This record gives sequence, C-alpha cells and structure tokens, in this order.
Amino acid sequence: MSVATETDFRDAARTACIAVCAGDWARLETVMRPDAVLQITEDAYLSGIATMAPYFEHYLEYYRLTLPRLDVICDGMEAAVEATLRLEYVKDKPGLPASSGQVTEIPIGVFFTFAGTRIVKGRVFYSLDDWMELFADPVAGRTAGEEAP
Amino acid sequence: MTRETGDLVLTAFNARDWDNVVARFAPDGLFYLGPCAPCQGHTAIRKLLDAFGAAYDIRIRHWSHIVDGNRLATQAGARITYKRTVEGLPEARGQTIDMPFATFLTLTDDRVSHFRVIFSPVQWRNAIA
Repeated sequence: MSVATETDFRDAARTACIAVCAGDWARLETVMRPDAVLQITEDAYLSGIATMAPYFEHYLEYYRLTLPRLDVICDGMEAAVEATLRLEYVKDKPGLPASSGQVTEIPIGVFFTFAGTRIVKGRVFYSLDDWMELFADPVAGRTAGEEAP
Repeated sequence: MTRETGDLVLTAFNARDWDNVVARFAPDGLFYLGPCAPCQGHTAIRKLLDAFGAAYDIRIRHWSHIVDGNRLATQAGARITYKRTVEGLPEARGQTIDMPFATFLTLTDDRVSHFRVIFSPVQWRNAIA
C-alpha cells in the first residue's frame, strides 16, 4: 500500500479541481474515492462520483469553467484550495439571458479531506451573487439569480 | 503564528474589538468580504467593520483551520442577526441566520496581508426578506 505525501495531497487537490472543470471523471477518480461526498455551499449534497458527474455536467453544458489561479494549502490529511474560477457562458440556458460570450471571474474555496491516498470529502464555497455577475446588466438583471445558475 | 493570528482575528471579531482586528493587518493589507469591493489599509477595513457592526450582530460560532506556513484556510459558521435596517434591504426585525463561510488568510511579516471571506449572500437575503 502506497503512502501519500504532502506533495501527493497537493497534487490531488489541484487535480480534483481541474478534473471537475474539465468534466474528466476518470481523472477525478484517480484522486477521489468513488464514494466520496461533496457539499456545495448549502445548495447541494452529492454522494459518490457517479452522482457528481451528472450534477457538474449540467453546468458544463452551459458554462466553460477554468481556473486561472489556484493555490493549495495543505496540512496533514486536509487540503484547501483558494482559486479564481473563470466562467464563460457558452450556451443559452433556459430562464437565463442569451449567451453572448459573457465572462466573469469569481473567488472560490474548496476544502478536502483525505482517506488513504484519495479525497473522501469535499466542500465548496462560492458566492452565487458573484456567479450572477455574468448577467448583471440592467436588462438581464438577476431575475433567476435566487436559483442555482 | 499563522494559526494563532487566525484565532485572534476571529475571536477579536466576536468581541467586536475592531481595533484589535485591524491591528492584525499590515498597513496595506487587503480585506475581501464576499461580494463587497476589496478594502485596503487600516482605515478602509475599519470603516467596513464599523458598517457591518452597526447593522449586524455577528457571532462566529465555530471554525477549523488548515495551516500551511504563512497561509491559513478556515471553514467557519456564524450566527448573524440583522439589527439595524440597511438602505435597500428589508426592515431589520432581528432576523437571524446561521451562515457558513470560508476564509483565506496570508501572513507577511506577521501581519495579515490578504484576508478573503467567501460566502453566498443569497441565503441571507432569503432569510431577511
């Protein structure tokens, strides 16, 4: 059985974030246990990668997600990621304004707990208000902003 | 030192000792509070704390840190009571909510050079509506 080092945990935290943004679930599974749980603000509680994949794919259909800045803070079996998430609205989503290449960048925080060599728990913090800045013109407004984007 | 500074900032915040909170920051320290515009420097940070303190009673009820050299990541939860009406928001009637949030702190020369608080105000607005 391999023993994970702090470098492994840092790499795993980074890989998990990048894999989710890319919709690369096979890659995610290299660093996250299939039965891992994930909490996203107070909106979503996901259990298992098989549940996470369709949840994120729904968003990835409408948004291109990248991480232009990503810093990992690691301590023992825990790691946190402070990152900037770049959102590009690439396809019209029902109930939201038409896609016209809207782009914004928002701060996010992700906290990971490891078991063995892989992530077993994650928690994501972000502001829906920041996300809805994509549509923050007086016409588009925030009419759908109180719901998950 | 990093963990202790994080504990000190959060505890002084609970004590509403803004002088102590501000004193932990570098003179050019940056404070990002949710979707608010970033504040830089003691005067701006103090002004923001005064404004929040006037409208809200905020008690950070629990927190846990991840420490990595001069960096600190914290998961926390606060009980927030809306005590004085803020222009543009509904009337304050003592509405209370438990709000989870995350913070990221960087120390430079033993002072906070970067402090970011991430939370989603939607939950709060729903609670006070």
